[in-house]
Amino acid sequence: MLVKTRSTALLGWATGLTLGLTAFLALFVSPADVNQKDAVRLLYLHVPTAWLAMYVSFGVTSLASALYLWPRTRSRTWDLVAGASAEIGVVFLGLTLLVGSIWGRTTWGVWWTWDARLTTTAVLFVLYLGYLAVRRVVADPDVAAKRAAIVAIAAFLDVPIVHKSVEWWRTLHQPASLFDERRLLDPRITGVMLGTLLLAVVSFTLLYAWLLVHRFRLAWLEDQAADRRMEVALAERHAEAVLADEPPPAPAPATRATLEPTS
Amino acid sequence: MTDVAYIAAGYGLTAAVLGAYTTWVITRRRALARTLGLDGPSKRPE
Repeated sequence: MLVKTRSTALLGWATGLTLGLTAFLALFVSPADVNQKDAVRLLYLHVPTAWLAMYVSFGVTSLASALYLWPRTRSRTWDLVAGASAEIGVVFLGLTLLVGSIWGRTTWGVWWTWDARLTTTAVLFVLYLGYLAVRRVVADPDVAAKRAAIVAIAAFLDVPIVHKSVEWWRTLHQPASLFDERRLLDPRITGVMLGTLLLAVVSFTLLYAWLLVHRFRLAWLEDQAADRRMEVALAERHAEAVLADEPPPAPAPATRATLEPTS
Repeated sequence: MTDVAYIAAGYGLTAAVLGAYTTWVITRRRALARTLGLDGPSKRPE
C-alpha cells in the first residue's frame, strides 16, 4: 500500500471543503422539520457518524481482520488497518451516542432511554472498546493479532442487530431515513434535506478515509518503534550474557608487600 | 431557530472531539517519525 503525501493532502482539502459546505447547508440552508423543528439539524451529524462507525469503520475492521486470519493473505498491514479503522469507528460511534442523546433531549424529552436501538448501539460501543483493549494486551505479535481479529469479527455480529433493532422490537427510535434497504430509491426525506444529508455522508466518509491514512501511518510507526525497542532490549540481554560467560579476571600475583604481615 | 443551545452543543462537541482526535493523531505521528528518523518523504510506510 503506497501512501502518497500529495494525494493525502488533496484528500484533506476535499474533506475540509465538503465538511464546511455540509455545515453551511445544515445550519443555514436546510429547512426546519415540521415535527422536530430545528433539532433536525443534529441529524446531519448523527446519521453520517452512525453510518461511518457501524458500516464503514467496523466493516473495514472486520474485513481486514478476516484477511489477517486467512493464511494466504496474512500480513501485518491488515492487522494495523483493522486497529486503525476500529479506533476511528469508536470515536465516531461515541459521537453518534452523544449527538443522539442531545437530539433525544430536544425531541423525546430525555437524554437516554433503554430503547432497543440505543441499547444495542451502546453494547456495540463497549464491544469495540473491548477490542481496542484486547489489542493492547502484551503478547506475541502474531498471537495478539489473531486474538484481536477474532474479537473484531465477533463484535461485528452486533451491527446487523443494531440495524434491524428498529424492526425487531417496538422502539422509540425512528426507522432508517437513508439506509433502509427496502426504500433505497425512495427515501423518507427529499429535496434540500436529502441533498444535505447525502453531502454529510460523503464529507464524513472523506474524513474517515483521511483519518484512516494518518492513523495507519501512526500505527506503522508505533510498530517500528516497538521493533526497535525489542532490538535494543535483545542487544542489552546479549551483552549481559557475554559478560556473564567471560571467565573472572585472574587474581593479581602476590607480591612481597602483600605477603608480609602488617604487624 | 429553536433549540439553539442544543444544536450549538451538538456541533461544538463534534468539532471538538474530531479536532482533538485529529490533532492527537497528527502530532503523535510527527513526533514518532522524528524520534525514529523516518520523517523524510521517501521513508513513509508502503
